Amino acid sequence: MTPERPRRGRVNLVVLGLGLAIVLPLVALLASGFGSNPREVPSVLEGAAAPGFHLVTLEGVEVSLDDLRGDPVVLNFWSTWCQPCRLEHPALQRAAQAWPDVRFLGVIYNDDAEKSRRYLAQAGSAYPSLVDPGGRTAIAYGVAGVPETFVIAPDGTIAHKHVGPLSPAILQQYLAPLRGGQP
Amino acid sequence: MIRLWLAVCLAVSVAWGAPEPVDPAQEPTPIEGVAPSGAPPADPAAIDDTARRIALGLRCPVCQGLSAADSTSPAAVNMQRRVRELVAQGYDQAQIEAFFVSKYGEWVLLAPTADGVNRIVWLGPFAMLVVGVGAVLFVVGRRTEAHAAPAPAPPAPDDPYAQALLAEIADDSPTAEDRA
Repeated sequence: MTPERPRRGRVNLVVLGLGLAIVLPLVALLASGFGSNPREVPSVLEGAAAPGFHLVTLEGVEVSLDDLRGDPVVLNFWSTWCQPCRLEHPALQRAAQAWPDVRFLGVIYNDDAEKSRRYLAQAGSAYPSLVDPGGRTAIAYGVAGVPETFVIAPDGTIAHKHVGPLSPAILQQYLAPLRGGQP
Repeated sequence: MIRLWLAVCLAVSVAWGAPEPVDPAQEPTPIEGVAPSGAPPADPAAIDDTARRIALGLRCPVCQGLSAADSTSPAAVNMQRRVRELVAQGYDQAQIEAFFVSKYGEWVLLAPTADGVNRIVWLGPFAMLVVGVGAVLFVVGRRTEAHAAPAPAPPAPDDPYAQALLAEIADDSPTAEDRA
């Protein structure tokens, strides 16, 4: 009995070491994976030129991104069936009223124009919302769900991509550097 | 509820099978700054097949692990439509995949490319297989060696009763066959 003990102990250490070498990296990988949201798409567009678009608002006015060059733009993809969009709606309306130097635009994501019009009539509409046929603009901006908001710098590059509902504080934080310190 | 769902499925499958309604207000938009690599397939069915094959490799952004071709969510349908539109303009698979990667990142490809760190994903399983087979062969080889060596004779027990028992077993061994 006694002479076998040290040998068995050594073998177990080797097996333990091998097992840990295989299991620990897997646990670390899974632990890091559990911490991240699988639905959150890493943005490859921040810092890149904002994809151009030429769309028509719900009121029938044509809007082109090129026409807005020189002003900071907030491009908010939304829909009436998206609850977080309804949640952030008042913050966006207030911000649009408070900062007339920032061009706010909504882009309707996979939703009916008539429904959107009704919702805006009831919830308030301080800035135009664009109809995006076939979701081409949403694809051009790599939109994976709503709400997603793109803050475009006056030079036409994407300064921030925000996934999820916005708050007034986040908007302020994104826009302050682009508005040149105006209150 | 189930009937409604079936009706929706049927409507969607019919819509998928039917040729795309062409909206004159929607000009086919090219990829910004990229010219199509060649002429589009002449046959609409070939366009559909190519578009479906490409969409099968793209991730549906609002689903969990589904391709854009396998989902009927509006986001996936828009992607299917966009892919078909680009195929019809003469863009090839590599160009269309590069377009979607430039928008969504490599995340949008269901199969990661075999570059850089991604090689671990591709080669890891084979490496683990080799290591596993090696470990099994090593352990089996050591056990066979241990068995091949003659086992040392067990020490004679001190207990007279055990000695008697062993002697009896040794005596009985040949008679076991006789009994049968």
